[in-house]
Amino acid sequence: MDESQKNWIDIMSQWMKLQQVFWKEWVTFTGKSMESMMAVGKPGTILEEGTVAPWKLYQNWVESFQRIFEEEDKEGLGVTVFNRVLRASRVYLDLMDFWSKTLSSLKDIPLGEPLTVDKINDIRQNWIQYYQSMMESLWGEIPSAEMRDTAKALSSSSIAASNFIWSFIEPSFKNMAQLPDVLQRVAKGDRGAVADLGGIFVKNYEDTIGKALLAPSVGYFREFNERLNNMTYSYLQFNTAKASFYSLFYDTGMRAAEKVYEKYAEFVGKEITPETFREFYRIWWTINEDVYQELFRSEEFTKLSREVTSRGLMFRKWVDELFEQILKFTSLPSKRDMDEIYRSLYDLKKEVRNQKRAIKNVEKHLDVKSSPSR
Amino acid sequence: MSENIMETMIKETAKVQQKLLKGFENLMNIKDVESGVTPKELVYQEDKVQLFHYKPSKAVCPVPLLVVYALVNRQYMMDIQDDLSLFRKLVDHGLDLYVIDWGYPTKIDKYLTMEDYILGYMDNITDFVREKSGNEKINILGICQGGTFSVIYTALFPEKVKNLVTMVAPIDFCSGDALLNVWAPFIDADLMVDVLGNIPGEFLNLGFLWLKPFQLIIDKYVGLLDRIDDPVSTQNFLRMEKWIFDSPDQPGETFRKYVKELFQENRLCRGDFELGGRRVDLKKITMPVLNMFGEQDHLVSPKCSRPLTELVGSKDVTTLPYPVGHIGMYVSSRAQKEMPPTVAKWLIDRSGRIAKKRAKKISTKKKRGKAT
Repeated sequence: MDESQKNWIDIMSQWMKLQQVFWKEWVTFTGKSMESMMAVGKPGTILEEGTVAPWKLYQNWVESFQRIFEEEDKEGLGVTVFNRVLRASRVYLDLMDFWSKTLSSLKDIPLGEPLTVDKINDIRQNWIQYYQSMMESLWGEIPSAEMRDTAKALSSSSIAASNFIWSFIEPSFKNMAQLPDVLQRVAKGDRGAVADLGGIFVKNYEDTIGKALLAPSVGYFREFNERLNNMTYSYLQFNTAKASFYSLFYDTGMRAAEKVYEKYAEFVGKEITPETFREFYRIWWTINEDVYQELFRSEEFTKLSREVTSRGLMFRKWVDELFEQILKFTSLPSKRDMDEIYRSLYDLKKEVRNQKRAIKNVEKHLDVKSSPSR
Repeated sequence: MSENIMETMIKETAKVQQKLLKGFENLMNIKDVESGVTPKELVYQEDKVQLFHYKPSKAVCPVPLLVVYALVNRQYMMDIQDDLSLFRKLVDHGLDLYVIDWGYPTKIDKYLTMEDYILGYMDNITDFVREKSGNEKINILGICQGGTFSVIYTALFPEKVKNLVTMVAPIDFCSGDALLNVWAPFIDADLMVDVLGNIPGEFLNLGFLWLKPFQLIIDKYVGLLDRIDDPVSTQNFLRMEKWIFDSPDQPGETFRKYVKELFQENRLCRGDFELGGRRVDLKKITMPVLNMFGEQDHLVSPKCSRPLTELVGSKDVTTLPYPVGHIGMYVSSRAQKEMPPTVAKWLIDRSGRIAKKRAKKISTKKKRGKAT
């Protein structure tokens, strides 16, 4: 047998070996895939150890592929490059691994039970961990410590962003947990529940956007932004106070209507004349007058009306402040400018008045008449 | 429903329709509704404040009467129409009448204080009337908030006041059970004045409407429909309507002091109210006082007005309640019939003596003036 024949037999035997390994891996992979797919189809089935979970199918296929082609015992540039490419392709596996772990954490949520804020936070913390480990695996081959630190800083900034967003949405989850109960009460006709419903959204707003609006501004437009934010905040505060105020009127109106209908019921069976309609009207307005008088004397009304007025005035104050800032760039006088003029005029007039009086007293004392100036 | 009732309903509907049509015709023909019908003369002006003189055709009382109305609403309510004019009736009873018109404050007046009104304008006007009439002392009639101002003024300048008459004047702000007394402690006067400057008249109107919302916002206009076909009745209604919503703005600083120190802290009654650095002592009011108020007043409760009788130092105090409301004190038929002669008689009985002495003094002064 000559050299070329020997080489050909070598190549063919290596190729056959490769095909054998391929076939073995393929059969194993396919078998486990079928097993896991059958298991997923049956609810309540717990996957046995060793069974390939569906989201792991791709991962296992790549690993088996790498096992086939990775030759660690050989040296040379081609082999080194080939092995490094294979190892680099693991980055996709790490990404897949991250998503598979992320999604698998969702299956831990028990069905039929309320999802608490703490549970959501646990899931979030797990995701952060998966993300961190994924990022570290991605940067794993960095040669220098500085680059490694840079990579860590990059990943930690994402985590910081996640924590910031969580601090923003956590109050919403906590407040919204009360929503189903309140909605049930509203459906049952509980009038107080309507105010409570508004209260939930108000609290939510105050714990999230409200805080953001009150944060101090920075930069060239700082003054303008602060006034704009405060104006927006005070406008929203004013509207929430008005909502509570109106719900009080609604409540009172309902009470008055009940009393009116009770009175109207006395007319059932009696003869209806034009005078009866006058009587209906008289009953309607006198009962409403009495009920609303009772409301106006209540402490609840006086406190709420003070709150509405105060918040409305604060809104007006911030509108004035904002206009003050805008008018600075025009030739129009602002409220502050005019107040300065009014104050000066007032002081001048007062001084003139006092001086006139003094002159008059002096004249009286000297018994001299001055020319009438009034 | 029986046929008779149906027939009645149809007739009633037709009647109402005719009434409404006539009413619209009346409204279209009304150009303007005049008030302030009694002849008067502008005799003094300082800034926006004016003083009008209502001269009697036959003067009976030698001491002039200065009428001080409130800053809230307008004084022409007392002279709203020919047959409902307290001013005309007082003048007809021989009183020499001077009436202060506070005017309509604008933004430029936001810094005017109670000191400016009482120690400034009111004192200047009093001095003017004293000089013009040749009397050392004059009579003062204070109405509503004007009554409070008059009481404060008289306590500070008792030497200038001969007799004091108050009409529905709030003095004890904490005793009242009226809604305004219930709401007053919750008013943030500082915030209102700091933000708004002058307190808009519309804001005060809203407050007054809320005292009886259904009656004043709905029933009043339903009642108008009943008499809208009568042009005289409609005009009278419109005159009143114009006055009700003719509310001047309140100068901020005056409002601040009035609400905080009088309404909320009740300092006038407590005895520690100060004006221009001077303590207002109601016991210094030793001249005769006539205290009139409405027993059904929903704005200034009788409990707010009555205590003046006990608080002043005068030995000649007449308390005169009327079974009417706040507006009824000015325009009810009973008030129109009884009040002017009662006030005129009361004043004339107490004004006679000073006039004779004063007449002698005036003639002496005139002679001295001619000599120099």
